[in-house]
Parts: sequence; C-alpha cells; structure tokens
Amino acid sequence: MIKAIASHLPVTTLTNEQLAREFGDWTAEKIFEKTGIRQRHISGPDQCASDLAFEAAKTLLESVGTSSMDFLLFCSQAPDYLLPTTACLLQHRLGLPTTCGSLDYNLGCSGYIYGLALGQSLIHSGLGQNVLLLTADTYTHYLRPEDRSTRTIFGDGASATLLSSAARSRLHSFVFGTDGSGAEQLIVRSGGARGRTPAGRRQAEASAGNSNAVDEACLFMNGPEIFSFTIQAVPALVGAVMKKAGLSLGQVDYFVFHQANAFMLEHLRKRLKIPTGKFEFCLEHCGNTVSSTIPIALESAIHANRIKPGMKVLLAGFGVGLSWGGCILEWND
Amino acid sequence: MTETNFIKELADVLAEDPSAMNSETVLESLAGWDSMGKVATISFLDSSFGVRLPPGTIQKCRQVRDVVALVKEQLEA
Repeated sequence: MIKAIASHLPVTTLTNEQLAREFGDWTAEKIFEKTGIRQRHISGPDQCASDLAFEAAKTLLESVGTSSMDFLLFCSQAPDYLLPTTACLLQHRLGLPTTCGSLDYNLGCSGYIYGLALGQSLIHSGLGQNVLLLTADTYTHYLRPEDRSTRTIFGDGASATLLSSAARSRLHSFVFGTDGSGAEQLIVRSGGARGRTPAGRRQAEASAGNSNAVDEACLFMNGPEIFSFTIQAVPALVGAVMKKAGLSLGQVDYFVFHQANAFMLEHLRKRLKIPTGKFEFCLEHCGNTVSSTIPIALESAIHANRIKPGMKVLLAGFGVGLSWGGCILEWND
Repeated sequence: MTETNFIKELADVLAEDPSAMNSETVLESLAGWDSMGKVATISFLDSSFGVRLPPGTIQKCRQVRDVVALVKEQLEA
C-alpha cells in the first residue's frame, strides 16, 4: 500500500543553544536531556504548511516519476484559509490532474494513521489506484515566545506518502480512538469560527484566564494532562492493534510511535517492555513535527535499514483531539 | 517503600534537595514543580507504583502529602 515516502523540513533551525540563551536558567544540555531534541526546523514568517507540503510532494513525485493521482489528502492544523480547501490549492500547484479528488482533514499527532486508513480505504473500495497523502504543520507560528514547554518541543515539517494499489507493502489491523473531553488540553482558540463569535471570544478569554488577544491565538498545552492521557491510551492502543493482528509483542519487528518527546517515548517504551533496538527515536534533529513525525521517522528508519523488507512495524499516533490511531505496516519496497 | 523514602525519591524526580522537602512542603514553592516536573511525577507514579492518574489529579495536589496520598496504600507503614 505504501509505495514511497518523502519529507521536507524548513531550512532555518532553532538550536538548544539559542533557546538556552533566551531562557537563561536552562542549559542546552538540560533541554536535550529533558526532550531528546537538539534542534527544530522553523518555517519562515511567510511560509505556510502548504508550502512545506508542496516541497515534500514535489520530491516524492519526482522520485516516483508520476503525478497521476486519483486523490490528494492533506492533513494539517494550519490551513491557508478557512476556505477554500488547501488541498485544492495544492492540486493546482502540484499540477495534479483535475480528475483528482482533493480534501483536507484536520488532525494532529494521530493524523498520519487516519490518512493511511482513508487512503487505503479509497483504494480498496475501487475509487482510485493512487492516493497522495500529505501531512504538514507549522505549530511554531502558534507558540508563545516565552512558553518554553512548547518552544523546546515543537518544530515544523511536512511529509508526502504515495499510497498505491501496485505497492507491495501492506497496512492492516487499524484501531482508532477519540476522547473529545480532552479537547481543552491542547488547543489554539482563535482562528476558527468559534473564536470569531463574540460569545466564543468571551468564553475563550474566561477559560484561558487571560484576556490577552495574543494568547488566544497561541497554542495552549497542558503537558501533565497530555502525558496522563498518553500513558493511559497508548498501551491500550498498542495492545488492541496487536490483538487485531494476532501478534505478540515479540512478533512485532519494529515500533514507530508519534515522536512527541523523548521522555514520553522512553516512558512508553519501558512500560510496554519494548527493547531499545526495536523502537524508533527520530526527533533529535527536528523535534515534534505533529502530523509528520511518523512518516519522517519511517522514511529515516527505512533509509537507514532499521526497517527492512518483510518486517511487521507497529505505528501509533496520539495527541491533540484527543485522538489516537494505530496499525501494522508490513513493509516491502 | 516507606513514606520517607518516597519523599526522597520524589525530591530526586523534581531535582530538589531531599533534606528541604517533607510532607508539609507546598509544591508551588518548588522550582522543580513546573510542567516538566509534574510530567516526571506522573511518570514516576506509573513506573514505580502502576498508578495512572485520572484527568486533573496532579493539578489538585497542593502539598507533598497530596502526592503521597496517591500511593498511600502501596507505602509501608
């Protein structure tokens, strides 16, 4: 099902040394110890998620030598406009045929898994042969400069994945979950329709406890609550995927989770008793790129031969929503 | 683990001086009780005691004794 993956990171980087100079009481090494991240890529002030997605898609389309797509799926929480659909802009910009169906969907850290499921379903139901799945986010544009718990973690990035009926790799044993009661724990209040109403604006101000308009446009993350959610949801998700696939932990060859931060990943790895050699860490150079962490990690692991043909790989995405999803990828190039 | 040892370990998790921490210590007075410190505490409770906290629990802790209470049944008298 997965034919090829490409990614794109913006050129500008933000290093731990730069952050340490800003925050004073933290050293670069302390930031690395706490997050597992040494640098993040930051999109320029005029660069949108669609610009990053365009670059990733261009690289992918050049490598596979075709732009004959039946569908374009764009996963992002930073659309160019409220309307029209950013995927429509990307269809035109990428020179995809006008017979290509295009749609956006709004998910964060679980978005890649959902995209794989949607794309595979379109192909399995006979609605198309080739689906271009793009993920891109520019969370760094949403961060409060003084919020070190998010500035140290998030980076910008994009990925492009070609799903094709002709590909030899398989995807199966999908499991999904949602708990909207945790919506407030990771949120950007303004920019959508709710934030544009007077009532929505008042409510946002009251619950944020802050009437500063700049803060409403910024990302709020309740780190401890997100962590609590993750350690509840992810072990259950991993168990459910393995049960559906009929696999024991030992029969899964490799694990690629959403690269939230190294502390969270290491906690999950230990709790699930996954050996270090079977567990992907891919965030030191780019941080948490939200919907693109899993494809960036997959691309890196496949390229470096940590994922080899024939391997069964468990993918798990989880975060903002709250939303989660997992599946098995049987990799073959 | 005794309560005294638990508080020592909690101090270590929060990168605080164990001799300056007891059950009466107000968490907000500790530099280590920031977002990362709370995350580290949740991780410690799960790893060492298998305690997974319902939403909002950690935010309700005011003193060290409130954290102790979360694992009270598993501590030695």
